[in-house]
Amino acid sequence: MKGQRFVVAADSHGDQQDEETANALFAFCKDYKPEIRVHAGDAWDFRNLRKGASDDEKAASLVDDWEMGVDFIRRFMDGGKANHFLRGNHDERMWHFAHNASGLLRDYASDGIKRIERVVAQSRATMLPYDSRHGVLRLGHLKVIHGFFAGMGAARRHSIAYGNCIFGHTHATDSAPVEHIDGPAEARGIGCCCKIDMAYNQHSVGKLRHDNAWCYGVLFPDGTYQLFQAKKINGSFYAAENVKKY
Amino acid sequence: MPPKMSRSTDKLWAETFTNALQHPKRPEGEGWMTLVEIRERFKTGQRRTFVTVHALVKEGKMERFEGLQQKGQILRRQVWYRPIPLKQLKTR
Repeated sequence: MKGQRFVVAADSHGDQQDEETANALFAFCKDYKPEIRVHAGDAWDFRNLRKGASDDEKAASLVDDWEMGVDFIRRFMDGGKANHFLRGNHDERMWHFAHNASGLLRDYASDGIKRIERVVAQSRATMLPYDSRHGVLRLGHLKVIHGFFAGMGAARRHSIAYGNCIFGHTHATDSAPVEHIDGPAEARGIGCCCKIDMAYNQHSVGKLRHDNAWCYGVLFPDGTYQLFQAKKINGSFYAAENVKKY
Repeated sequence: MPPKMSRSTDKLWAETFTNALQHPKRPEGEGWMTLVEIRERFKTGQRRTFVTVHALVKEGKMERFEGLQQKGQILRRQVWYRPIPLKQLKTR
């Protein structure tokens, strides 16, 4: 079977990552050996850089968030031949902060950007910004984005805007195919690698749609692709080690 | 200033950045004024205020606090000054 194997994971959120999911993903990568590896954004949480962050959020340490985000990227990208990192809205906070703050805080945020760039470069990955036009990675006919819509209609809106795509951001694994002359254009939520129950979403019913999951598949030379998804079921993940042609 | 960039200084950078985010916005206690407030109070010009205050700090007659102040959506570096009471100066 000719084609490149790929894996796409999203929303690990630094120190908020789900250990079971992270460990299963790294083990899967070891077995599946994907040539293309994409982190589709929110590698860090950066909750203390959020505009309007509460005193509690500001008091949160960046140390664990930073170190776990770096560790996730390094381990995930290790062994990949074509690595990509798409910045998510949380990662983008460092850029916004560097742009909006002044004085010492700007210096620290600008330094943070350089450190992120260094981590990405050392992982031999390309980096795309969180941008609805420029933050789109094309793997053949499949587009990978961090995600720009939220809520129940997110998948449908993504499929209308981007066609065949997979997206993070919503932490859900929903899917919406829309009519297209060349065949259905489907947008699929990748799911997340972070904890599903977090302090900020304690009362949110939306989290009941969240799933720990990642996408993987095969990209064929003509740009077509076969997409699979591994979801957490009772603490375990079930994924194919090999893809065979019939 | 942020620490020199290298993998070994990542932790130090994250720690100092966290501290900077929690830096007290204003100094504790009373009598602190920014240069602008000093100018307004003593009706002096910008240059004269600057030179006088810096001379007093150098002579140890005024104390200086470097903090942060929110101005609109931007968090800016702000310096406050306070004269050291005469009593304290005599006992030094």
